[in-house]
Amino acid sequence: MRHRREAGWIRGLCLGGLLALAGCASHASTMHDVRAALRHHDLEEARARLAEAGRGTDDLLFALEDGLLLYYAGDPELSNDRFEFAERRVDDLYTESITRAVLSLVSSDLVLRFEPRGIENFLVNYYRAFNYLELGEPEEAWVEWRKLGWKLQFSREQGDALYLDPPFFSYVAGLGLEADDPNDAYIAFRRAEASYRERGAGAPPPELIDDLIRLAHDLGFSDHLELYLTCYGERAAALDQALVSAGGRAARADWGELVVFVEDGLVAPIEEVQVQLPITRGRAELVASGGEGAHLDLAAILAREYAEGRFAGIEPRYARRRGIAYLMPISLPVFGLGQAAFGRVAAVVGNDTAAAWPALQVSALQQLAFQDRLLGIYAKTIARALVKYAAAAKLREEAEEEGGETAGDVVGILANLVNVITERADTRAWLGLPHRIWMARLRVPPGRREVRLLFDGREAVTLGEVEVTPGDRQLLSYRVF
Amino acid sequence: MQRSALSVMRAVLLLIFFISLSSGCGKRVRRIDPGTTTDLSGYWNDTDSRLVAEGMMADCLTHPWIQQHVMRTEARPVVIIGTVRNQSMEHIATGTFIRDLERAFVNSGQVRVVANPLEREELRGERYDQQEWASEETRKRLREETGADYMLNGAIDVIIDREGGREVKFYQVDLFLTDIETNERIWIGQTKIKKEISRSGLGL
Repeated sequence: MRHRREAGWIRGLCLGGLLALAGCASHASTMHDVRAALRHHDLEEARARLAEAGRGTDDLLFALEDGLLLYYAGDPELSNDRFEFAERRVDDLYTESITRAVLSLVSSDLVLRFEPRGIENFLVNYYRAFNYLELGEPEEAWVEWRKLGWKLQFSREQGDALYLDPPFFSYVAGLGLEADDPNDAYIAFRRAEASYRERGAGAPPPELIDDLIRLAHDLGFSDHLELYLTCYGERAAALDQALVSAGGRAARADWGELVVFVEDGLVAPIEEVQVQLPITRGRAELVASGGEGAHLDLAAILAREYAEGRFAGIEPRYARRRGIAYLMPISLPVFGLGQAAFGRVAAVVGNDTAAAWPALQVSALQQLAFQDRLLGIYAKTIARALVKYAAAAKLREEAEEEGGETAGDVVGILANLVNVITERADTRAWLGLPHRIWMARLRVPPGRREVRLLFDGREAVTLGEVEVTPGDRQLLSYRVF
Repeated sequence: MQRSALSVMRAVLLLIFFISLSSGCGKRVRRIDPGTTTDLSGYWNDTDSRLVAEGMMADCLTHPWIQQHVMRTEARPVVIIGTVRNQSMEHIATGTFIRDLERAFVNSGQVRVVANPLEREELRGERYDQQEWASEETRKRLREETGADYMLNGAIDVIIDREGGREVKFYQVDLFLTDIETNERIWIGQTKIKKEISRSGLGL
């Protein structure tokens, strides 16, 4: 009777394992094909590959990937539908599913709903704003810039890490909002400048300082103006003088501005590695006899030891000599390498050239966010593996008692097999994103102007003609895979 | 300990069973009265648009500016609805709100409303067309438009405060009625809506 019950549990374990894996036809493997198509600039193929894989259990991740592909494919309306869906899903994520959380304790983190991490949430509004600009609806784009500002404000309070408030987003929001409300733009520029200074993002770009001086001047914030003149020296003083002069003001109003964003390459993926963790005899006894608290404590210790690189190069023969009871297989996520498509780029309009600079290091920021949660991932993965290992050992022992050694072996092998196949690293991430975003700003005279991009080691690209109107600012974006 | 690991797994399988039962529910559609108050997501919705428009127009239409205008000119005031700027962090269909305002004005019978600049262009195009193609007796004359006395415009703004799973949204709608000839504000309306959205930290 007991034997039949255990057999039922093994079936249950297998079922649990299969269920856990059913929805997780690895996003990374789907996106491998999608990214390969993107490298060939074949957006149609990329979308077909993504659609083929379907939404799986992660409709949010699908919406982000598809929204971005639609953005590049020139379907801003549908792209925004996808992003809208994604944003609403993110709102729902506050409610954590107990079912999935419990299931993740015995299978893998892949059963948890995907949650945008690092700067992914900010990029949704960035792309949505560009979609609205493409649709000729600047008022709706302003809504996106304001939403972005609000998200940053909320995120900024969560800590000092650079990925929580990258200055790029406040800077771009300021550029986008100036036509709506110069005061809102000024606040966004101030936040960008503070973020450059306080979060180790390097010196603020000179154009941002120009914006601050200009708007502080226009809005009559003399105390701020003095502060910037003190902090940013001669360049700021020269600009201030130019703004006071009638000629300088007229020149500013007579010309238009183009801000060109060039998206470069493909963001670094998160990859999976198989690791063998050595469990010493003493620790193995603790696993067998200790409670859940002992598992968690041991998991935390092992996680720290692994993070410190203590288990590098451990192999079975070495393990036997060192009195190691067993090598516990686990799957861990590791941050891969981003792929840049070019080394430098410049925007050219007529005789004017502006060298672009890498304003947003997407891969680097995502890596920072990944590293911040790595110790937690290690601890959870190891704790889960210990619980599963202990459960498998118990099943084997009981089967051996009731059905003999062979039955024990079979049950043990099956239970371990379920453990191995359910143990998968969570490598999900928004993989259609670029490796970095470059930015260039040009002041140009009014009229129809052709915009070109010059790359090092690649052919030049013409973005087409834009109508430049006096005092107007246009944001343009281009992606190179 | 192994016993506790097994009980966790039992609980997991039980949960899977309940999930599989609940996933059998299909899509259901039911019709509801458009006047019903519905708050699903916490975003600005049709109920907000309708209630704010009705409330503000009720205030506007009982304000003495209408009588003062009638006494002065012996005619009903003519209003053009301008823009209502969305300064919030939500995509608000201001068009719906503007139409709610227009409807309230027209249906009151106290105020005449003329077409807004966008519709005006379309109407002018039609009138020009009629000069060429319509019969003389049905043709509408050029330069006979009714000039508005007042323009109504305004803005919708929102302030959001969030802490954990609790979010409070404070919408403020400001409307201004301005004398087109003198730029004088003759009526200012303001409505505030406060919504609290609570998200549970845990769910099945």
